[in-house]
Amino acid sequence: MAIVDMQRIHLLAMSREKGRLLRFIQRLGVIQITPVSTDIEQVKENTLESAGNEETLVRVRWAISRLLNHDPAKQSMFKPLPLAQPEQLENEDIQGLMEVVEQLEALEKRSGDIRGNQMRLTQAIDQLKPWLELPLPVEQIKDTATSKVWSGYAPQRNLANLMEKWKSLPVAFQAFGQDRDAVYFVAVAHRSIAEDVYADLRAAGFQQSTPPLSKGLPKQRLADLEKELHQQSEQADIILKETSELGVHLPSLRLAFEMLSAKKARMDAMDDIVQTRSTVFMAGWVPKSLSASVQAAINKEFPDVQLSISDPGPDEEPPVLLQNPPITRPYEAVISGFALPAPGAVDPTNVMMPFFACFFGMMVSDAGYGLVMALLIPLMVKIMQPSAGAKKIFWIICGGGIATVIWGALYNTWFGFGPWPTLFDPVNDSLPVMALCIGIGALHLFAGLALGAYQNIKKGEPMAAVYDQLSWFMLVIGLGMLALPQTAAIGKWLAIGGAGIVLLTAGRDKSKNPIKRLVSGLGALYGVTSWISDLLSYMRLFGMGLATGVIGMVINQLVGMMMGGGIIGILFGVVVFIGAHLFNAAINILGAYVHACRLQYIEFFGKFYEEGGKPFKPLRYSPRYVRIHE
Amino acid sequence: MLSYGQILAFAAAVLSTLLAGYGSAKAVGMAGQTSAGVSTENPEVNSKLMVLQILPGTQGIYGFLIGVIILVNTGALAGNLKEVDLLQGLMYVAAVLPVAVVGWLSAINQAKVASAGMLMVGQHPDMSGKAITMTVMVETYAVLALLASFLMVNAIKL
Repeated sequence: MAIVDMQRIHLLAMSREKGRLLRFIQRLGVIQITPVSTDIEQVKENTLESAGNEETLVRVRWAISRLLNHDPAKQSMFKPLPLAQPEQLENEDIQGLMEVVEQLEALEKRSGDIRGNQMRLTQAIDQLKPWLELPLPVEQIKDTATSKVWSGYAPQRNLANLMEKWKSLPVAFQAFGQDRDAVYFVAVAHRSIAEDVYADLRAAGFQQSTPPLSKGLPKQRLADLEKELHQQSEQADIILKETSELGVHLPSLRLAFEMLSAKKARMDAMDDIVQTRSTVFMAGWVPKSLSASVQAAINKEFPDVQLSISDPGPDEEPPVLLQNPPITRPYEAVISGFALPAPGAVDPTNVMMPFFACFFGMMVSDAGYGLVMALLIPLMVKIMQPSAGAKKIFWIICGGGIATVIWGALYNTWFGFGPWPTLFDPVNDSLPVMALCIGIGALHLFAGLALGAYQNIKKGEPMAAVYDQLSWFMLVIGLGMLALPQTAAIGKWLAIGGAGIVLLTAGRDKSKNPIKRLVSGLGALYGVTSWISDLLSYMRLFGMGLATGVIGMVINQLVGMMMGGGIIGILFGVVVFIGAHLFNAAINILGAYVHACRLQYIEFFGKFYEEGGKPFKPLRYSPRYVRIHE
Repeated sequence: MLSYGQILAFAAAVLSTLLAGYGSAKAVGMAGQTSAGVSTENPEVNSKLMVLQILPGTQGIYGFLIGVIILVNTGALAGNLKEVDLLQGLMYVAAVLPVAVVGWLSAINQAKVASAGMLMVGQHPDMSGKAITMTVMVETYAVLALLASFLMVNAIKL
């Protein structure tokens, strides 16, 4: 149980070996390479190569996302990622694949052109719409020796007046189209009255306009445009088909992506390495427990490499890696979801684990749901082969499932039913359950306080454990004992003693002035109120548990009513029973998880936790689309 | 023949389901809009945002829960409504106020934290644990309100 001890590792190698050495280190996956500060003049040659690598990586990732919908093998949540050998991730020959990427890029360009064309054509068709019924070819709309011709549009409401006015004049008027309230028309007038007619038109809001084509009938033009549009969409179909045919390359593209990201990781590490013309020097962190075997492995593979391993210096801050027994290991995810402990602080995973599972169980609190979780999840892990991170979450829920069975049995809730007489009845006799929640909460907080004391003693400050933790133990337990008449007398003195220590010592680091110290002591005593709110916070264990139980009960009552309705009722009843319980379980598992986390982060960690560790990030493969064969 | 007390008991069930449910619906909606916006920028975090989106949905469940408990206790669900006198009816209405009002308002406030948290996750996907913790902080008071309402509703003996 604890934070893994780290050691410094230094490697001196010949330049020509650096590529192979880095690959070897990456395959080992246990060394974090760190920058070396030096004023040696260095040879940096790989900036261009690294930029090129990154560009290729981006292109390959784009190609993968482009082909995602054309994957010939259907991807599913329940299918494990394909396995890959480490050698496959080191195969840098992807020339052929880059041709596929180029084809895809060309297709993308073509489809971009097509989209542009389609937009242009649709626009042209839209502009043509009001002119469609124009009865004469466009080239004939022009003035003659005796007449003037206008084409354009005007608001409909003004036209009636115009017609009235022109009744007796030598004016021909033909409306043929409409776009919203604008009427499109052609008007012809004898030259002798042309000016008056034009003035009338202007007064009626006339806008002169010509059809968007140079000759022929708009109808004919429309047919042409539509044909062209059709051709474009045929082209688009062809491109889609060609893209879809490239889908077969997805597996190798994914592999290439992994290869390129592994290479990128190596190149990033390369930036931290000191390079001279003929040698390279690198520094890093390696877990102490592995350092001997790492040394042996490197010496065997690279007899020329000079390697030294040493304990970290006093001013060096090693990265933090948690290591715990298999049972509590998944719960490291809960810790890292908040923040890693500072190097040298305590890793609370083991102490936290039973509380976390217990809280989870109290909040889901239905033994039926617990059984399903505890049985189904190992199966899902087996089938899905999730990544290491997801696996941790799965096992946390599985552990929570086991605790749920226990608490569900105590609360006597099985899929919303309560078949047997029971120890606790949250619905009808809630006080004992609430007291239990507060009691477990107090235990949890005291465990946090104890960890704080342990941390102080480990640091060699046993008096700090008395001042900061023992005092609070005395104060809180003493206050608790005041509630019972038998223990009230002891409780009183215990509380006064604890309060006295807090009052005198809480300000010890703040000032030498005794009055100022007393003032900060008083401030610290005010922390009693936070103990009350912390304890009350554990009432959520009761509230969330109640919610699951009562909703389960309601589901069963509803289903019971349906079951009375003959064969169809039974059919519906079964569907509703399964669906509703699934929903209830899902929402409560989520709620239980986040609330269990919160009780750790706020209430528990608040009592002792020192955060601030930087995570250990060894140079290794971290694949996204494949699993590495061990 | 229904009595005023019975009508008030129903009104209490309505209040808790309605106000808390409305709050949660609005809250999940608000959070959903932010989730959609953030996912547009950064589609990879979408699944992390889903958790944040449904967190303010629990208040509606709490309100519904108290509503159902009233229906159970008054015998409405079993089909034979018990006699509820006027004062008991008024007590029901008073008892649901915590879960109804706190549920409604805390859901909306929780959605605001959830939305802000989503923006944070969009920028720093590894901070989703912290965003969830911040959002759950608000929920504490909805849980306390639920408990208060539950204890009061259960204390009314018909």
